[in-house]
Amino acid sequence: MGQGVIALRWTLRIITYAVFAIMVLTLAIIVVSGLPHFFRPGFFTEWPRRAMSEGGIFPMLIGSLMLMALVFEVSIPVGLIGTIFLSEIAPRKLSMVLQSLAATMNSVPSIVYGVFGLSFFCVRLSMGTSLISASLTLSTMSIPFFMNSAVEFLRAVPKELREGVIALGASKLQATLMVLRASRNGVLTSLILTLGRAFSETAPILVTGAVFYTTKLPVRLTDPVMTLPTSIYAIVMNLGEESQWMAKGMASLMVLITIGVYFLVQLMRRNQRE
Amino acid sequence: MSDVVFEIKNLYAYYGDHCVLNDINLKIRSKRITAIMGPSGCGKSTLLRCLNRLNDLIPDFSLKGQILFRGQDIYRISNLTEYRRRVTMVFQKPNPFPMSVFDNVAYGLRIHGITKKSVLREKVEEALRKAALWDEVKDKLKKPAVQLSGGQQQRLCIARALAVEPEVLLLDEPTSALDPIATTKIERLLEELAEQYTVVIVTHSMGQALRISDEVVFLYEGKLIEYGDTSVIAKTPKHEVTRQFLTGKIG
Amino acid sequence: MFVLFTSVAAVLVAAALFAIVFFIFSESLRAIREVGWGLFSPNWYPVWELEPEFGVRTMLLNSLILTVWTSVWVWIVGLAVALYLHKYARDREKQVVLRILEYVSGVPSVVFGLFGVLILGDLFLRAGAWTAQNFLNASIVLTILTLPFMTSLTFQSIEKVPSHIVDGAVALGAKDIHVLLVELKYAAPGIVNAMLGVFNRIFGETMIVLMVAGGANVLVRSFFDPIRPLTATLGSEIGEVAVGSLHYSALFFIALLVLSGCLILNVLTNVICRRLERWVKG
Repeated sequence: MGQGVIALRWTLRIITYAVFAIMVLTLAIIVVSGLPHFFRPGFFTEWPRRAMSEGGIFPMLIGSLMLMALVFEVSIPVGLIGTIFLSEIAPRKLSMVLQSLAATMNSVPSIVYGVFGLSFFCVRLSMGTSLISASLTLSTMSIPFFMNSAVEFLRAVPKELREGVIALGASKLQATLMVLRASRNGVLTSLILTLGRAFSETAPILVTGAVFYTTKLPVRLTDPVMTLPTSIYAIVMNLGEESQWMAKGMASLMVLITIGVYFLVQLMRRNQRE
Repeated sequence: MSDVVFEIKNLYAYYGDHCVLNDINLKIRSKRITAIMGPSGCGKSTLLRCLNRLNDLIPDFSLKGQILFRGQDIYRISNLTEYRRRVTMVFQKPNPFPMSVFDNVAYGLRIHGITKKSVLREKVEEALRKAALWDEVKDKLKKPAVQLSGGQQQRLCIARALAVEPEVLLLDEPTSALDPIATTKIERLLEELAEQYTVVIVTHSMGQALRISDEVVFLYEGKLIEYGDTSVIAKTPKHEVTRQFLTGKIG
Repeated sequence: MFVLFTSVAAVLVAAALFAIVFFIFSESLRAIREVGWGLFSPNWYPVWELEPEFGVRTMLLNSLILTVWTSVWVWIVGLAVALYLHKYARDREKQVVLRILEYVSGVPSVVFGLFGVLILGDLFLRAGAWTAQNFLNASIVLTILTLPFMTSLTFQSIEKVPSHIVDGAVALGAKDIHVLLVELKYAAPGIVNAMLGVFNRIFGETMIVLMVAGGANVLVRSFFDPIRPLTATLGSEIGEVAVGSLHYSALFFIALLVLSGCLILNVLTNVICRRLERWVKG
């Protein structure tokens, strides 16, 4: 028995350590290659100049934040209400069907959302390449994602809690508020993950709202916007050597933000367990 | 006020096609402890939950017949949430809400519209005193309720139910999850509460029913076998099944 | 009231999926009607004035080959890591590895694209490849992208195997390898779910293949060949095409292919996993 099992264990161990090393190395290289650029004067506060070979990433930062804020405002309320309907109100069969639909939507590739957004929001509804098109497209993507994640947390609330409040004379609305309160940690986690994903997605907004370069910040919903991910794409694919540093800086920033977000989520998970 | 609080007429209850209560007819009187007992699965919890329409939450559930609360058909009342304030329930497993002790007891008051701090404080203290819990938690009011012991949590649930000033207290096997000392404390408490409230308690412990109840309802396989004064039934049960249950041969 | 309000939101969500399918299908109708079977020719020259061609065959094949090749590696390595974490890793090792995998899973795909172009691309050139952006580059980056997903889902599936099953096997004197097989059998629905999910993800991934795979629409013959999968064509041309033109419609046909592939895979996954669950639970 000995030999075979030991060989297996060592093979698996080597593979795992190799994978671990590659992952850490990849993250490290991306972060390190861009980190020094954070310290260039004006990196966070200036506009890019000279075909993005000088200056900073200010408009991209603002653009991404604005987009995220809009997505938050649209997808979280709708997603939350949809989740409540799924978990608390719908009869079981309808609930299962809706949840399958949401799960299916979750697996649709992001480019398909982008193409849909283009034909529906930009063309059919004449919203053009704008902040509103991009945010609606992203919201269409984010709502199923949020629902899929949050519904498990709501379902996990034990039925004794629901019966307890009803038995005291709570209305359906009040009972639902209690369920939300009991699952608030999980719902918050879902919210953070959803926003994180919206922040990182490129394909859906590449064709619906984000542009390569614009001279001013979006002031109306119909203005186009520059964002971090789309600018990274644009620089890497279209610009020369002198501009790559900006892309690396943005990539580094995005990875650090991602790590920060997931670190937060992991902390919240640990708190919930205790 | 009439002495009869609940009158149940020809009640049949079903989960889907399965009949769990078969032609129940009985009256429950006020300011007494009525115990519903019988072996496991005889329908006692179902019967209790009919009284505050908690079975409405179960998708397959349906019933035939009438349940009158002070003469009114409870399936025809206009305000169900107000009804459930007058007829509250405490469950088998203590289910404190994820909040502080104070907020737990105040919850019922808040959802029925009482929000003034001074009023809340007064009523919470009153409820906790009635539930014989005040002394143990008076300096822990802001602590999460889940930190209390099992027996304390159950008394908290009772205080929570009392805070809304109900007329009827329904308890579904309230001590089966507790140790003997906590059980005794709660039994004492229920005897005191029966002086002010109508108490209906489901129990599978024959000893408990005999100890504290004034009237007893005996169910077997969904059917009402007999009901009446506890001391009378204990000594002279009319049915064979009752006698077998009392002597421990079944259940 | 409250109930009505929430049901409206849910209806919106359900309607969205149908809207998406409907739109993509209707915009691609023109291409289907006018180009017909020509859509499956190997050449894609949409802007050639004389005789534009809208054949997706080469792109489709490249997509499939890339997906199959990469998926197989991800399945094997992901399973290996999950097994190691479940059986042999100490608690500390488990935690650290899972955490890093979680971080990687959140990295935007465009950042991986940058990694492939700037960093891996450099290595490829130094190794003598004739182009930095090629099949192998895309495959490597896609592996890094999807490995966390495969590993964590597989790991969770194996961990969820009820301990009494494992204890039962051990108590019968089964050897290590047999116990492992029992665990794998029990976790099979979850593992297969993960495997098909990986396939779906790779097939539908856009940014990475757009940036790293090369962009030449030639059927792949060596690892260093540049290719252009379906999603890359879609991503690169949809932004510049004239709305309403035949080219536009043909791109929507590609979107329809990608969407159909994804939906079919979804249904397949559900069916297969349900069958497996029945087989497992006996």
